[in-house]
Amino acid sequence: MTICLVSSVSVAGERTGAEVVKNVTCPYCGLLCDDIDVYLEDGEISRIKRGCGLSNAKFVSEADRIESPAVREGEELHEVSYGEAIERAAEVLREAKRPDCYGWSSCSVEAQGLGIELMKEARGSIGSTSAVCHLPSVLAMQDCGAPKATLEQVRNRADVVIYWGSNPVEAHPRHFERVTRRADGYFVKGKDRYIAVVDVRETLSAKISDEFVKVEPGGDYEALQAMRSMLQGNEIEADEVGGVPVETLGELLGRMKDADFACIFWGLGVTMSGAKHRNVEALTSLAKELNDYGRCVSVPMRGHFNVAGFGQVCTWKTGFPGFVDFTGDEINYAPGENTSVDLLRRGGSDAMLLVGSDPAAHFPLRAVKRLREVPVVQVDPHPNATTRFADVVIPSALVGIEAEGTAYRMDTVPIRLKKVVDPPEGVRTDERIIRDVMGAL
Amino acid sequence: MELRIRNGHVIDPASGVNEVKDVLVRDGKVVDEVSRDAEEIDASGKLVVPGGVCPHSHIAGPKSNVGRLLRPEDGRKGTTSAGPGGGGGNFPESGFSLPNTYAIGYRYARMGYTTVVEPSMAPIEARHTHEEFNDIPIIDKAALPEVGNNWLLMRYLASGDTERAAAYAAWLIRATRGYGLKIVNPCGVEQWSQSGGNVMDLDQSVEPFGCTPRKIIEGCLELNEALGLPHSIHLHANNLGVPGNVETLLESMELASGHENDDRAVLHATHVQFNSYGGDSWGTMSSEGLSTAEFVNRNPNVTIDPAVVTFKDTTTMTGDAPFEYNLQKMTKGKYVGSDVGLEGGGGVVPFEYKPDNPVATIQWATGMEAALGVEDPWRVFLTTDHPNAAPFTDYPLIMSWLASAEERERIVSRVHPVVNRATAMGTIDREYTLEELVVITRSAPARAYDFEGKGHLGTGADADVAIYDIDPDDTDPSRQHQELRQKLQVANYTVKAGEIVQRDGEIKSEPLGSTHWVDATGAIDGHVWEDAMSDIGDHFQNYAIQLENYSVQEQYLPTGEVREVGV
Ligand code: SF4
Ligand SMILES: [Zn+2]
Repeated sequence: MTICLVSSVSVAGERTGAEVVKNVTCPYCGLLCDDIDVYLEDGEISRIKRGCGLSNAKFVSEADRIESPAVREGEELHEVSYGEAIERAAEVLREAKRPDCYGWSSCSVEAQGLGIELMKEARGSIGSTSAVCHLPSVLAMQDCGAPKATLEQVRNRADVVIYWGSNPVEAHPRHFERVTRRADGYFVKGKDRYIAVVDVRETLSAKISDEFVKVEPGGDYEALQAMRSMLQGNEIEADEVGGVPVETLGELLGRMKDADFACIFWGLGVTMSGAKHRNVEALTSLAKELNDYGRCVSVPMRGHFNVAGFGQVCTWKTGFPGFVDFTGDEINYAPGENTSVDLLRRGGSDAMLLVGSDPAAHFPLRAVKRLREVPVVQVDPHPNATTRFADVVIPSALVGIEAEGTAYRMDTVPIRLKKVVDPPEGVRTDERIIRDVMGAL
Repeated sequence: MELRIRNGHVIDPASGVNEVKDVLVRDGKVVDEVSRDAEEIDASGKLVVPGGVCPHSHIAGPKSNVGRLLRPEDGRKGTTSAGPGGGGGNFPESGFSLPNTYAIGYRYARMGYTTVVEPSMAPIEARHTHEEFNDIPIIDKAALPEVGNNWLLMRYLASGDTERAAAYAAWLIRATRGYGLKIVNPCGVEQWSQSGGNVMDLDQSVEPFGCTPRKIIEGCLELNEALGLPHSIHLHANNLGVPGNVETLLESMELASGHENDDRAVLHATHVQFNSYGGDSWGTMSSEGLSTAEFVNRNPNVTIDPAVVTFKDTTTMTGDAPFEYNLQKMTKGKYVGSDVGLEGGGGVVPFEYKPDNPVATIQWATGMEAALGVEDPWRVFLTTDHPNAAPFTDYPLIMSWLASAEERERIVSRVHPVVNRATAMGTIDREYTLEELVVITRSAPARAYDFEGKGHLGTGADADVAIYDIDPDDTDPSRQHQELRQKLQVANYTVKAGEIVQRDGEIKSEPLGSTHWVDATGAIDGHVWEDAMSDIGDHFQNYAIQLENYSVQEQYLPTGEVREVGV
C-alpha cells in the first residue's frame, strides 16, 4: 500500500496541452474527495492533482483488468461473447433455488438498486461487503441510534476529534487535510483542534495526533463503558480499564465534555474487534450522552467508497439495510442469517452473484469451500482470487472513472461520480450488465 | 389513450361542480370530448374527485431513510407481498410508519392520492431525496429545501440584504431542484449545533450571524413574493412541542400581515398541532388549537395544516434537531440526531401516542380543534405531518372524525379525562361535509402550491382522479363515519395521468410520476446575481463538497417538470 504522509500528491508531468477534468470525485475510500483534477492525454489519464496515494494508484496505475467475458468449461475459462455470458449468468440465477448476491461496495447506487431488483426477480438474497466491516455499526444503530453529523459540521465546529479504532492516515489519507487537522473551519482552526487516537497500536495517525491512547485488544467496550459511567458521576474502582489507565480515560472524557463540539470517528478497530456491535453501541451512546454538556457527534469511517450507498438504497427500496431475502412472498430481513458467509457456511445458498468483491480472499475457509462448490457469476473490473473458480466472468467498467453514478460519503452525503474516460472496448457498466441479466432472466 | 368515467357524482369544488356527470380523459388530461372507443368506467352511484394532494409528508430523503434504518421493527410491521393476490405492485411492501419507497406510492394510490410534497429537504442531501423520489411509483412529487438555519441566508437577512438573499434562495431552490422555501425552527437549529441550546423567542439572536427568527421569517416572506414563487413560505415555527408555544406561533403568523398575494396565502404554518399548546408545564398544558384556528379565520393570508394525532406507535422526524434531542430524553429510547451541512440538522425518535396519556390526549385534541376551528376549508389542509403525528394511511380515519361529532364524542369518552379540562373537544359540533373534505384533501393544497393541473377536474386538468364507492346523495358522513373511512381507505379506482393505476386495492400499473421543481433565477437582476454568486463561492470554502458538485444534476430528474417563474 502506498502511504503518503503528505496527503496531497500530484504526479509530476508536463502540461502539454493536456485536457483537465476538474472536481472529479475519487472512487476509492469513503471520504469521496470531489476536488480531484484529472489530466487526460490522448483519451487516457496521465496524472491527477490533489489525490492521495491511494487515489493516485486507482486513477493512474494500470491494475489488471478482466479483458473479456468468459465462462468456465472444466478447469478453464473460455472467452465468450457478452451476450452469451449474460445468458449464462441468467441461467445460473434461474436454476438456483436460492441464489445469493454479494459485493456492491465499489458500485454506484444506481447499479446497487438494480441489483436489489434483480435479486427480487430471482427470488434470492442480497447483501454488501459491510457484512465484513460496518455491519455491527448498523446493528448498533438499530439498537440505539446515534448522533450523526456531516463532515461540514465537523470541519467548521469540532474542537475535539477522537479517531477511535480508525487510522485515517493509511485508510482515508486526506481526512486530516479535508476535515480535521489541516482543515480550517469557520469556528475553529485545524491546528487548534485537539486530536486523539484510540487504538490497539500506535498507528501513523496516532503518531501525528495530540494524544495516543493505547487500548488493549478487545478492551474498547470496557473503556467506553467506563467513560459512560464516569460521565454519570461514578467512580471507577480500578487502575486500568481495557488496558487504559482510568486517569487517562477520565482526562479524555473531560476534554470531550468541555468541548464545544466533539466528534468521534470510529473504524474497524471498533466494529471488528471484541464486542463488535456492543462497542459501537457504547461509543454512540457515549457520544449521545455527552450532548448534555456540550455537543458531540459520531461518524463511521466507511472504507470502500460506496459501501454506505448500498445501505441507503437497500433501506429505501426494501425497508432494511441489506441481508434481505426475497425467497418468500414478503421481504425478509435477517442479519446473521442472511449474510453471505452464514448462508455459505450452512449450505443455505446454491449460487452466487458477486459484483465487485473477492470473497475467496476475505471469507472464512468453510464459506470459501462451499463457494467453490456452487455456480459463481462474477462481475468485476479486475480479476482476483475468486476469478480462479468463477463460472461466469463479466468485466465491468470502473465507476467514477469510466462510468458515472452516485456514491454516499461516510457521513451519507451523496456525491456524484463522474466519467472521465471510456471503458476498455467492449466493457459495460455494472448498471448495464445487471439490467441485461434481468432482461435475460 | 382515452377514458370516460361515466355517470359519477363529481365533486370538484375548484370548478364549482357537485353533480352527476361524466369525466372525460385523453392523453393524461381532462378534455371535453372523447371518441366512442374510449375505455369506460361506470361510476354510477360513486364519488368522483380529483386525485388527492398531500401538502406535507416526510416520504423521502435522509430522515425517512435513517428512520427505516433505525426501526426494522417498524419495517417488519408492514410487510406484504407483491403481485396479484398481494398488493398488486411490482415490489413487496414493508413498514408501518416508515414504508419503503414502493409502499409509499402504492399506499397513497390506494387512498386515491396522486401528488405528495416532501416538506423538508436538507439542501446538501437533496440528491438523496430525489433518488428516493425516483423509486416512489405513481405519485407526483415536489420537495421544499430547508433554509431557516442556512449560514449564508442568515447573514444576508441579518443585514437586511433581501435582494441577495432572494438571489441565493433562487439559486438554492434550483440547485436542490426544490419547489419552495421551508423554514424549520429558524435560528434554533444553528444554536443547537453551536451550544446544544435553542432559540426561545423571535428576537433571540444567534451569533456570530446576528440573525433572529423574526429576521428570517420577515425576510423570507419578502423574498418569496419578490421571486414570485408558486408556494408561500412554509413555516415550522420555533418552540415546537413545548407547552405555551402557541404564543410563538401566533406571533410568527402575525408577521404575514403586510404581505399579500392575490392567488394564495403568503405564509403556511405547518403541523400547527405541535405548535398550539397553552400552559407553562406538562401539568398545565392545554390545547390552543382553537386560538390558532381563530387567528386563521381573521387572517386570510395565512394557511395551516393540523398534523392530527391518531394514537399510534409511529416515528417522529424533523429538521428540528433540539426538539428531537429533548424528546429522546423523555422516551429514553432510540434516537438519531444529525447536524447537516452549513444548513441545519434534524433527528428521528420513535414515539407512541397512547390514548390514556394526558399529553397525547391534548395533542389529539389540539390537531382536531385546529382543523375543526378554521371556517374556510380552503385554508386548512389535511395532514398528519407523516409520520410525526401518524402515518399518512390514517387520513381516512381523520376524515371520518372531522365528519362526525358523534364519533368524536365516543373518543372523548375513551381518552384521558384531561380532555375535558384542557381542551375544547367537548364543545365543538362542527361536522365537515363531503365537499369540505374534498377541499382540504385536494383542492386547497393544490391551490396553495399552485399545482396548476391538480386539485380540480376542469378542462385541461391533469387526469388524476379518484373514484370511491360513496354515493354522496345517499351517505350521511356523520352517522356512516365508519363506512366512510373504509371507503376512503381504498378507492375503487385511482387514475393517474389518465391511466388506471389502482383498482380496489390492487396496483394495476406503476408509472413514475413527475417531480415538480421551480426555477426562479430568472427573477434576479444580473448584477445582484453576480454578487450573490461570488458570495456563494466564498461560502463554499467551508463545505467539504465542491460548489460545482453541489447542485443536483439532470440525471436525478428523469421525470422532472420545471416551473419557471420571474422570466
Ligand atoms: S482520501 Fe480517499 S477519497 Fe480522498 S483522495 Fe484519498 S482515497 Fe480518494
Ligand atoms: Zn413535517
